[in-house]
Amino acid sequence: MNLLTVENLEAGYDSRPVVSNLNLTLEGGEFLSVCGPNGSGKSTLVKAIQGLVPFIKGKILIDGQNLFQMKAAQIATKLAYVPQVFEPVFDFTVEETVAMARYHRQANRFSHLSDLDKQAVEEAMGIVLVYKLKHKKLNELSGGERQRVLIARALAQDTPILLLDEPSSHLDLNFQLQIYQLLKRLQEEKGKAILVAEHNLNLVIPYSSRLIFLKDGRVEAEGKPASLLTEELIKRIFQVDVELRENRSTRLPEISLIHTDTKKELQEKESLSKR
Amino acid sequence: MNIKSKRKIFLLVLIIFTLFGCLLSLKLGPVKTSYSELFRAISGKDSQFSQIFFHLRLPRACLAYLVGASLALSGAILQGYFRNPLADPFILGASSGASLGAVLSLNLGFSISLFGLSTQSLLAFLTSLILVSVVYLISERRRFQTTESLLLTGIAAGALASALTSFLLFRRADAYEQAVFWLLGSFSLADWKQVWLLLPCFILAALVAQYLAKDMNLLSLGDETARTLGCSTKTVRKVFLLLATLLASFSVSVAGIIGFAGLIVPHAVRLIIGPDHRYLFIYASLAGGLFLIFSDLISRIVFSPAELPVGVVTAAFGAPFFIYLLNRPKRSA
Repeated sequence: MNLLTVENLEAGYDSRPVVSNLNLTLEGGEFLSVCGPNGSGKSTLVKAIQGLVPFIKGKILIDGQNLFQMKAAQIATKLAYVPQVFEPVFDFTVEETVAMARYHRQANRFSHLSDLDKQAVEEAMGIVLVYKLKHKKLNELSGGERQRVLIARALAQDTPILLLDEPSSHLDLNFQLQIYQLLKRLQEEKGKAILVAEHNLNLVIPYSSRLIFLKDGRVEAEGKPASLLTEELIKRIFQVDVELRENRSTRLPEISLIHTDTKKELQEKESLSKR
Repeated sequence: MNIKSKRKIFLLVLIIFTLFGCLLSLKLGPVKTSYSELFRAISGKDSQFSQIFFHLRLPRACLAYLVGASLALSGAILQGYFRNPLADPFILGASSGASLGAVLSLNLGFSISLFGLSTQSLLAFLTSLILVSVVYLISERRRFQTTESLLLTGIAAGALASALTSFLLFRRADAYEQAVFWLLGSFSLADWKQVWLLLPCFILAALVAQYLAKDMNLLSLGDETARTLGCSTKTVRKVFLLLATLLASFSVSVAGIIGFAGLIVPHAVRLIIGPDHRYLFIYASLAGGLFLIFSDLISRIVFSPAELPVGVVTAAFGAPFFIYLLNRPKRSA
């Protein structure tokens, strides 16, 4: 069953939509990556799904319920979100930050964390390996650690759907890999449906059940990574020449950029071979 | 020391110093009194000084405490609201509006009294409330009201109100001395009526703020994050803005503009007990009350029998303490 259904979505920040005529579905336990060039509408789409942009038209069903008829606290039980940028102003600790994911589940506004809440918070911090940092303040953490804290907060929210906006941005190669391995684990072990907006194609290919390419706010292509990716498609979407190779470890396509000089060489080789 | 122990010790310190401050407030004043006379008056054995203790000094101490608590709570709310530790209760023009109202009443020259408030107080309260409401409505006219647009509109409207105040003072130079009361704050006119007026307002505002304290924790992370964590940001923001404005306007109407308390107290308390608003609102209120009891005390005794405006004391003593707090060496985590 579809956990998320988006039909004829138009969304943006004023009356001119950033994404338009957009349809997508997300099934339980699916890993869907939304890719596309800068400005194609990836982040707007992720925000629109949660009702976070001021201009939205169309139909968004979350677990069968109409998003526009749901209260914020109801949406928070279905969707958890990891934003691209998070600059804390006040010095909350890691534990306090993760615990905020449980506020909407507490019996009343004056009650403190229940045993179940505490367990969820500790488990979430344990999964993303930030438990030892729980008394540290967010401003004392590195970018990678902070990103993991945000994922822990999303996990503690205990929702069937996880939405992430460019989770690898600002992270080095090691952390990028760690974050995606963690997301894959959550998909496989916890059955989470994951939707990621990501510009780094090579990073998402091995982990995605399905890819969606956006261009100018519309879906340009959709499918499984192994069958969908072609050099022509990448050229059409990103306006860049690439070479598709097989990744040695995953046996899946991997994108290699063709630099201008290399391109000339290849063309020369081709013309020589034709002669 | 963990945060729970810190909170307990800090609470104890606040209570002890508040009691001590109250005792000093009752004892010290232009009429010299001893502790034995104070205790005799409390026990009802001495009526000679009971008038001074219970009708002059006690309401003054209570009003100072309530105004301090209100300003600090208002500051704590607005700092979270704007996600900015530099926000204070007067950032949206409440103080400029109140000054305008007070100076206007001096120019108009008529006199009415309502709920124990003078014409000046009434007009100060109303103009303060009107100015902040206008600021809110103007910034809401934009398609997407942002905290930045609200803040900037508040600053602009405050500047305009200040200009009008200066113009009115320029026209009535003889009213300047009276106007200083509003511009620098004082508790010299404190009485029980003002206390009974402010007390229920403060209690109600504090209860609502405490009820929504978790939402303020979420709001302080930014609206997007707050919404995704289940906070109905639009409604909560409106309630908090109303609370902060009412607290600031009521405070100004009974004591004039007392700067700095609403800025430094919540900030200093946050440095000590952390930013969790479930505790910050309570502790900032207690510390704000304490801060103004001592500030009022100092304003009365430094040049006794003359009085300094209390706003001068809050800035003179608050600023160095604030600078110390900001620059104290941090312990490594």
